[in-house]
Order: sequence, then C-alpha cells, then structure tokens
Amino acid sequence: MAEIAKIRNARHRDRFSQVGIYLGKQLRFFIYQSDWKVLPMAGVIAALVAMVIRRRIFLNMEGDLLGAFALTCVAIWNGCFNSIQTVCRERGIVKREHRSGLHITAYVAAHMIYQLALCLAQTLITMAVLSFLGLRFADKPGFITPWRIVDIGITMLLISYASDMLSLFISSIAHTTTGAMTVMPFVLIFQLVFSGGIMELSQPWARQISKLTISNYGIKAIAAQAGYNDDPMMTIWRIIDQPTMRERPVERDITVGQLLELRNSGFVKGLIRELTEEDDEGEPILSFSEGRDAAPEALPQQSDADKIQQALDLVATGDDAELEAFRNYRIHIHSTVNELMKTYDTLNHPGALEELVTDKTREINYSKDYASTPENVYRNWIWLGAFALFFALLATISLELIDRDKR
Amino acid sequence: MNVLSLLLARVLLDSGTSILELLLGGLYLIGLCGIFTKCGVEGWWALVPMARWRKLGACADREPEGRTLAFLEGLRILLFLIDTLLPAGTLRLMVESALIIVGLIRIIYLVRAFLGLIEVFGAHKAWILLWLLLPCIPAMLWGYGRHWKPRWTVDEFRSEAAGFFSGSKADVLDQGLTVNLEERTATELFQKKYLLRDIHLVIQPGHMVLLLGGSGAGKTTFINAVNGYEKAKAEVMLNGRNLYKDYKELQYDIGFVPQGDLMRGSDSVLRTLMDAAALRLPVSFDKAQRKARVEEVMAIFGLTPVQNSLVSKLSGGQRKRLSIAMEFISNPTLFILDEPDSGLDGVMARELFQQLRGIADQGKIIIVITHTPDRVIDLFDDVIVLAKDATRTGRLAFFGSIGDARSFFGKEKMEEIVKSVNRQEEGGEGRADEFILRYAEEVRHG
Repeated sequence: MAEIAKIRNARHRDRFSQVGIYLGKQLRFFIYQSDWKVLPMAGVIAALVAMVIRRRIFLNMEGDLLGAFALTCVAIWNGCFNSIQTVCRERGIVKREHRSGLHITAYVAAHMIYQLALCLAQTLITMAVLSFLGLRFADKPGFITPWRIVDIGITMLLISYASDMLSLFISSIAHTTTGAMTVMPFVLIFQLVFSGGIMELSQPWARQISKLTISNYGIKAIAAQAGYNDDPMMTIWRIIDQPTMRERPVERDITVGQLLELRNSGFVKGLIRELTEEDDEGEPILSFSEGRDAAPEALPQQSDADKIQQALDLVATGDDAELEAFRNYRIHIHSTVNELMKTYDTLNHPGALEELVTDKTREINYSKDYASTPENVYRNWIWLGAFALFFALLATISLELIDRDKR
Repeated sequence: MNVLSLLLARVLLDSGTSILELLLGGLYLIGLCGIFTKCGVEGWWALVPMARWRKLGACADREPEGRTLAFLEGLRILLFLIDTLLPAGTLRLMVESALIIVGLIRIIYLVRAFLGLIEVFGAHKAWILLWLLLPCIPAMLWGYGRHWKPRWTVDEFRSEAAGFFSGSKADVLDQGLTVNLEERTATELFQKKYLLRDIHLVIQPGHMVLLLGGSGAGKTTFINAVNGYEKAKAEVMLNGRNLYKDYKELQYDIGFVPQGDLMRGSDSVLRTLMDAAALRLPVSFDKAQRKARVEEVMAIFGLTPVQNSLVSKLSGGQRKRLSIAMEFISNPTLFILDEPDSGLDGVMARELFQQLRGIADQGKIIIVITHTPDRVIDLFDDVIVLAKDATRTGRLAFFGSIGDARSFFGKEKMEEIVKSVNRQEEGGEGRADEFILRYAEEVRHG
C-alpha cells in the first residue's frame, strides 16, 4: 500500500502497451461472447450468393459487373456487421476505463488489429466457399499476384475492412446498440445505391457522391481484376437472338442510291444476291417498288418486273453507271430478322454475327474505370485503404469526446 | 414576391398563404400568446419563430422537446427557402423529401410537447387530436378560457433562493477534500443552463459521506465535478493539491465506482482485476507485483473463491464488489460510489457498506450516493443534501454531520429529508428553497 502511495505520481502505461490489454479483451470476446459467429455467417452468405449467381458471373461484361457487385455486397455486409455493435455495447465501460487512464488511440488500434484479423478470416472463408461452389477464378492470372483468386481476395479484404471501420465509426458515435442498428440499413443502402456499378448514375452530383462510397472502388477493382474490358458484351446479342426477335418481320425500304453508298462492301453485293432469291412462299425477299415518299416526277417511268429484276442484278453485280439510272428507286425488303442473320452468317462463317455484335458492343462499353491494369487495381486498393484509415480516425476522434456524453 | 409572402407566412405564422390558412395560423398564435401569459411567459414570444417552441417547451415542462421543435422549425425554414430557390429537378425533389421527413419527425415532437401542455393544464389526453389537427381551437380556448388554468407556471421558478448565495468559501485543508464550486453550467442551443451553484464544503480524511438529493438535483454532476471528470467553475483541492490543475497525476488517486456494473462479462474476475491493475498501477509495477496487489484486493472484497469465474456468471453482490475492487486496486485517497447498493438486498448492502466503512477508517474519503440510506446510516459520518432550487439548479441544502442534518430538517430519516426537498409534483414537500436559503444564511453568518 505504502509503495503504491509513494509512486502514485509515477508514469503509467502508454498507449502502445495498452493495445495488448485490449487485444486480449477482444480475443476473449471472440471466444466467450458471440463474435465467433461472424465466421460461419460469412460462409453462409458466400454460399447463398454463389448458389444464385455462380453460373452468370465473370463470363462476360455483364457477368463481370454482376460478380463485382455481388462480391462487393458480400464484403460490405461482412465488414459492416463485424463491428457495428462493438463499441456502443460497451460504451459505458469505455467511458469508465477512460477515466482510469485508457488511451482511446490504444482502444481503437486494438479494434483495428482485431477487426483486420476477423476480416481476413472471413475473406478466406468466403473465397474458399465461392471456389468450392464453382465460381470461375482460376482461368486468368492476377495482376498483382500470379493468381486472380488471391487478387480478388485482397480486394474483398480491403472492402470488408473499410466497411468494418465505417461501422466501427458508427458504433463509436451511437450511444446504444439500437441506435447503431437503426443507422446501419441506411448506410448499406447508401453504399449499394451509389455504388455506380450495376445501377447507372446519370446525374453528375450522384456520380460525385458515388466517389465517397466504398462500394464504388470495390466494384471498380473487382471488375478490373475480372477483365471487364476484355470480355464480350452479351446483352444486345441476347436481345437479338431471342426467338421472338428472330421471328420479327423486316419490312423496310431502302433506295438504290443508299445501296450505292454502301456497295464498296462485298457484303452488300452478297447480301443482295442472297436476298433476291424467293422465300418459302415464292415471294422475292428484295423487290423494287415506286418510292412513295420520293417526288413522283423524280422517278423513272419504268416499273415492270423485268426492269426490276434488271436493277437488282445490277446492284448485285455492280455496274455503277447503269445503276445511277435507278438511284431514286426504292428496294423494298420483305424478310425476317432470322433470315437476315442467317444470310450474314452464310456469307461469313457460323457465329459471325454474334461475334460482330458482341465485339462492337464491347468496344462501345469500354470503361477506363475498369481498365485491367495493375495501376488501376492499385489505385482502387489505395482508396479502400484510405477509407479504412479515415473511418478509424473518425472513430478515434468521436471516442475522444466520450466524456461529453449526456447521462 | 410570391416566394417572399410564402416564406413570411411559413416563418411568422407557421402556415400556408391561403386566407383560411392565414386566419387559422393567426388564431393559433393569438391563442399561444394567451397560453404563454397564463404560464408566466411573455405573450409576444409566440410571434418569434423558433423561440416560441422553446417557450412552449418551458410552459409544457418539456424543455428538451421545445429545443428540438425550435431546431426543426429552423431546419424547415431553411429547407423551404432552398426548395423555393431551386429549379425543378432531382435536387429539389430531395429537398422536398427532406422537408417531408422533417415534418414527420416534427409531428412526434409536437405530440410530446402538446402532451406536456395537456398535463400542465390537467386536461384529458384526447385533446391531443385537436392540438394536432386544428391547434387554433385548443390554443384559443386554453389561452383565453377562464376555466383553463395551468397547474404550475414558469413564474414559480423565480424565487428568492435562486438569487441568494452564501458567498462563503470553504478553507483549504492540507489533508482532506475541499470543494469550492461556484457554478457548473451546460450550454444547449446557445442557452446557458446552471446545473450546480454555490457549493462549498470540506470533507475530513477518514470520513464516509452520504450524498443525498432527489432526482435531477445534480448528484452525479456534483461527483463528476469533484472527481475532475467534468470540470466546473470550481476549486477542488485533494490533500492540498488542485485536482483540476494536476488531474493527470491525481486521477489515479480517485476511485469512481459508477452506478451500473460496467465490466466485461467475457472476462474472468482475475483477468478483470489484472487489466484494471495494468491500467491503474504505474509501469514500475511488474507482473508479479500487480498479481500480488490483485490477490490482496480480491481477499479484501471476498472475491478469491470466484477469481476464475466469468463476470457474467457472478451474482449481483459479487459484481458490485468487483466493481469497487477495480477502483481499489490503486488504493485511492478519494473514493466515490454512485449507488453501489442498487439491486442488493439489505444484508448484502450492509456488508458492502461495512467494507466501505473499513476503507474509510484507513484514512480515505468515501462519498456515496444511495437511495436507501436509512438501513446503513449509522456507518456514515456526514451528509451532503443537494436540492433543486426554483430555477432547477442544483444547490447545497445542507452539509454536516448526520445528527445536525436531522435537527436542521426536523426529520429523523434520511429518506424524509429527501422528500422534504423534492418538488410537490414529484411527491415531495417542495421545501427545497426554504432549506437552501436557510443553509446559505447559516453559512454566511458562520
């Protein structure tokens, strides 16, 4: 006793040595309380997501985005629910210990270390479950490591950790677990709505807000790692390839003059050759007619069948000078989408039109945000890491003010 | 011009711009003027945007709700202004959505404030419907109807005691605790509020002091000011050293045991105390010394048999003792306990207080808040009685020995003393101002 009295004014534990005390407390919380439950929960969530979307993701551009969005959601969900109650459930205890010399920085640092370990374990479980259930990770190398699954795993860890720190901050400002759990859905919805991946943000201000979300950088990183810009875009092709679309009739007028503009392409000549043959009902697919919209006096006064056939032959064989006489004639196309698609494939090779459509739409949908380069992936990782540190800093600042709590 | 008139209607009358809305809004405010006057508040406050809600809160005895309503009205005005200036588009839609949300929150607070007003006027709760749907009717009726009278008024808060202070400072002792607290204030929405005023006392070493007071009298605020955790405009001297100036050094010399069992259920008793020792004892204590001190404290508080049990598995009494033991680790000079006997039966409570008496007998100062003092009053030396004066500021109604307190208040039991200073609407005798004034006079005249 006397010894205590003598050294009362002596130095007490600094913030670094207090970290160990609180890491021990976290570990005991993990064992004796319910913290360990987040690990099996991560596996269950990964399994649920994998079962629903495993056949659709990382195959094409749409699948890449869907996969990036789904994996980001899984990581955010895991991260957010790891620490949403950790501080607010023991706020009174923290306040008491702060009176007894607890350094808030040590307390938050212990949480940061513990939550990092928890997120790492969750990410390992998630990736293992996703791989086990057949998600395609292994067919392409990674940008940072030789394995794409590891690259995506690191991104998942960073998303999860940044979300974890965000919810740690919410837990630090909420005074009760009920308060924290009330705020949580809004945070999740905000992250998902403004992620900018699947849900296109057309308004400039919405795109600016998107830059403040963890999900935005998570989706960008995963989509880049999935090779978004190298994969085909399937949406347009799938629309065209549907039976209802294929059976749709094509009734269109085109002038000879318009065809002349295109005639340098061998495809046009071949197309006309194919289409001038009769269909199953004995009707020609291509036929001349007098243009209804053109001025009547501009039209040549010839419209008998022989002349029409002569004009079609000329279009197919290609005598410019003779065709000029038919420039204002209309060619009426009477066909179906399926017929035109078959014609294209016949002129090229089977599957040529699908290649053409998916390639062209991929080019149109190229995004530098999803550029498959190490620099892009690193950039997004840095953003995610910065988010984690920023929210940890906010949590520290808010807890430093814990003494001002109203009773 | 249209925007301006709309804004003026919204701000001044809290209404729309149609003739009917203006008429109803005007009647409502005229009615509020009457209610304010009846409640002891200047009637013209009803015409001042935002401030009228604070005054209504005061009249309805719902000051927090009044403050929130004032804030919400400010927010509504701001959002409305932005809404009128913005072109049609998504942003305007968002502002209008925010206006709807603020409006919904406002309804909740209006319900609370009007229920308070209903209580003050002793009316049936069904009036709330009219207050929400057509407030001009109840406002006019209650404001100018002869039969409608408030049960208490804001005027009653102004009294002689509120402005009378002892002005006598307590002498600083080399040993013991000296408190010279001028005031402890809090500022909410730019309004200064006195929580405690004019408390001067000296507690000798070895004394066990009971801190008495009704709900809201400022007991917890007082002990937080004394232990340096929430600083007041005060001089608190512990054994001749200024607690506020040397707080970093003296904080380990003060043990504060909070009301709740603020410990982690996942830690064992031994681990809880070892961690407490790591935080509270100097770094020069090695692990073996810390362990020895923990074992000593466990023996004092009878926790050795349960040292390996998880805190969540302990009984109520064991938890209380553990909570006290955590603070006792550093052997503090000043020990403050906030309701350490809550949830304990009479036998366990007495055992606990006997242990505290034993600690005091070692030359420590013990200050205890308890709501059931009479079962252990023989163990205390002194009593501090705090009471709310008419302005609802915590004041010292008495400090002295237990015997002196009995004769000062003319009551035998401590619980009767608390009852005598409690407000009448709280079931008390409402004599707080009388005792505050008398005690201040006695101190002033030595």
